[in-house]
Amino acid sequence: MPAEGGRVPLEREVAPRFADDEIARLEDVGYSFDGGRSWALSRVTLALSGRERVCVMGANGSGKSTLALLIAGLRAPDEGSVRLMGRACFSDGLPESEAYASARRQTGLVFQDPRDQIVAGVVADDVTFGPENLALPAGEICLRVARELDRVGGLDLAWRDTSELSGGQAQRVAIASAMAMEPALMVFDEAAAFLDVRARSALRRLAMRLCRVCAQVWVSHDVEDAADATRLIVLAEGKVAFDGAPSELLVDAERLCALGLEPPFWMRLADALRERGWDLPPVSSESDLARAIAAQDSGDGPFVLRATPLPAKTSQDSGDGPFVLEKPQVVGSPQDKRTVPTVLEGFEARGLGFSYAEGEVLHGVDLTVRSGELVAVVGATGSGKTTLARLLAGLVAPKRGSLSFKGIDLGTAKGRRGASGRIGFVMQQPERQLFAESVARDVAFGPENLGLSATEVEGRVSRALSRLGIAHLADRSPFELSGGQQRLVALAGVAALEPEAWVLDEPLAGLDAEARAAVSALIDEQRAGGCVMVLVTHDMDQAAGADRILALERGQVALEGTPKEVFSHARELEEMGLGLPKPLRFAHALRELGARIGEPLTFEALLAELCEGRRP
Amino acid sequence: MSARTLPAPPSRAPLAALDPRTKILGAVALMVLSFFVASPAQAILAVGLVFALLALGRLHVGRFAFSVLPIVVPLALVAALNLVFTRTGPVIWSWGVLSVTQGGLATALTYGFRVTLIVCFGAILLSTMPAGELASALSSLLSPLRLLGAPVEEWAFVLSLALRFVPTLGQEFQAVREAQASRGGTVARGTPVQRVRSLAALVVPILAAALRHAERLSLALDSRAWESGAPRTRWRPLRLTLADAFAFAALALYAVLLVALGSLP
Repeated sequence: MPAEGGRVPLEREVAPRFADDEIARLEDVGYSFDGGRSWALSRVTLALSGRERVCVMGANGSGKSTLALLIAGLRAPDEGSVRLMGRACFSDGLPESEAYASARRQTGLVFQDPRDQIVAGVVADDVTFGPENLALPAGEICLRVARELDRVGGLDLAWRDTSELSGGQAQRVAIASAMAMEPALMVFDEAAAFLDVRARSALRRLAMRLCRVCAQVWVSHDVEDAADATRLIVLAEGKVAFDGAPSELLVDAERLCALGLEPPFWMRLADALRERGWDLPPVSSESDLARAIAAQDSGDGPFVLRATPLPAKTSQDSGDGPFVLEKPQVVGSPQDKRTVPTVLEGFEARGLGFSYAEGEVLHGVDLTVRSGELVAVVGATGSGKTTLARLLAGLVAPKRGSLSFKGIDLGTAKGRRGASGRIGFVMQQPERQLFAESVARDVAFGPENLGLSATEVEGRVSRALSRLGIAHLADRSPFELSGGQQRLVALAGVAALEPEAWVLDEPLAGLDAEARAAVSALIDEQRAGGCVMVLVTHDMDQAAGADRILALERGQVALEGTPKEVFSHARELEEMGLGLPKPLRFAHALRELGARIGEPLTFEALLAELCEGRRP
Repeated sequence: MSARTLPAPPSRAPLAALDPRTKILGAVALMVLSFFVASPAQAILAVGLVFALLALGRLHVGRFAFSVLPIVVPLALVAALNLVFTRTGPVIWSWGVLSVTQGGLATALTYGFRVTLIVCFGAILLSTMPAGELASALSSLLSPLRLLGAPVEEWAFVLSLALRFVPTLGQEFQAVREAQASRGGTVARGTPVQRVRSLAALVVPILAAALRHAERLSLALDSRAWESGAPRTRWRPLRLTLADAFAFAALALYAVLLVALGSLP
């Protein structure tokens, strides 16, 4: 069988195979999806060299994925000229298919959704697929499959079924499969967008290691990704709006915003502090800023924050031994629950459990959510978050325990039918549910099913569209919108039900700054309007804004309480593969540098603590 | 610096470890032979073989029985119709116009047993054969057609991709169905107009999803240098081993025994 004996070299220490600008050279390139009526890319000129790690950023619909496909040789432009891997691929309006084929062989591609690029049923067979297509001898294929699976830390996955892989594992296999063709360039198209925190940082670290053997194009809309790139290209409406060193752009929050990008946390904090009169040197990373703050001199020695005393570590976190997951730590105030036996105004779950044929996915979950309350459900991939969301939305029947919504028993088919239309459910990537010929017709689907009059339906549709700020899209086809716009249309389709409760599963995943703001505003508005809100998320900054947090691990409640209470268990959250909100993480970093600071969960709280703590 | 080598593949049940071509041809032969089962002695031999195969395939008997039940039960009911429609031999039971003859009972039992046997062999084949193996075995078995210019390799590859995407599209379908149901859209209720609309709300997103997956997949195939008809090598070519020879010998022995038992007076 494969790979007995011989040890194989891990690093293919190769000099760049191409001269400085020969990996890709695009000149005046234009690309249109509709025969020239509108341009996804226009007049794009750029050159990539063999050792670069280029980050391509831009808002949803800015053309960054299209650019990635052009660089990977998978699409030919409509205009301009393209040279890839040292050969002319497109010039004078004509593609050179031979040159394109050769360029594709030397380029690896990793997409957002690994399910679309895994072709075999067994991991090892997927990694060998490319080398087999290159007609390499079996011995060479054997060396490569071991080397690449080892490189991505996936040797133990070799004989696993590809359908059983988690998102992070599948992305690593996809990388190994691409690397097995020994590409000179790897293109990552939003490869981390749908991964949880732990998988995302593992993928970033892996990509950094790949830099040693090939050039990289990393497409993302998360500005934090740009920090470790050697070069940053920002697209706006199909044009190159910035091309240069990341450090040039990552000092100018206003310019980032103008380009449709969200400035990173530390940049916003530095700007806010400067506005309040702080004299900070230019900073280019989070740790830079922490050091700059800690080194603030106020005339008499180094600046030490002193406003808030160290957090009282008394009540829950008394440091008694390791964290035991078998015993859910309900760190909230349990008396709230005992006083009200049945909550008539929201969700009430007791001992809720669910299982598939393969095993139990949810066990003994207790949860109460009242009107006007927002509960964030957090947990790593596979922790049972999505199953809990489907149960709360009345889409599946609980296998064990009880679940009710406003007194309606969701354990019975009749109850679930009765709750239909009163609980708004937003699935992951809800844009997948769009079907109608126009945005307005799609949004009207829900109200029409409720049997409302035509005028009422019309009223609800226009209210829902204007609530999400997309009234101008009403007559467009949902299929010709950008990903961000589609997400808003799908949310409008749920908002038109005017539900009393919302269950949202990762509503912000994969959205750019503008769409995120629109979705967040909808959530805030519905919560203020007295809706019962349940938000499944892996974004800890979003969870920090909730009334309470429920942290799931392997189907059980591991932590429950207010954000302040839950985030005081930093180590346990870390072990669960979850992080901390950025302001809190930053405060911890400051504390390491000797500052005395509390436990701020939000940007505003951190800012207030810093300003208050500054010596006069 | 050197890397670790690939771990050995997990050990498989003896039956599953056979060459996929052996498994397919063997299962087909066993299914054909099932039509020769007519006497109790032959039936005992066949049942013995089924249990032997379950043991060699390390399949759980109870779970296996449960999995074939949905196919066997309706077929057994059809076979049972022979009880009342075949009228040969002495009557052994009658009630009004209905009567059961000895010949009817024998026919019902024989046909019912044969059909069950065939389903069992088919199910054993499927539960010892991953989809990827099926494709490579078919491509090898059908390779004579290549002489006639048929793109056998491509057919087999497309088949394996289709099988790969069945679960993915299944997940999409479930997600969209639930999302539309939460908007009150279900094909099960409502006026005909509403039902048609609800059907469109299911079918259009699934078609869109299938197209989206297909488009991405074609990009993925391009980027992995897959070209229809281009020469490619195989990492693990199919190879017949001693175990396969042994399997064919056992199959021949079974056939001989079955025929011999049938020709007993």
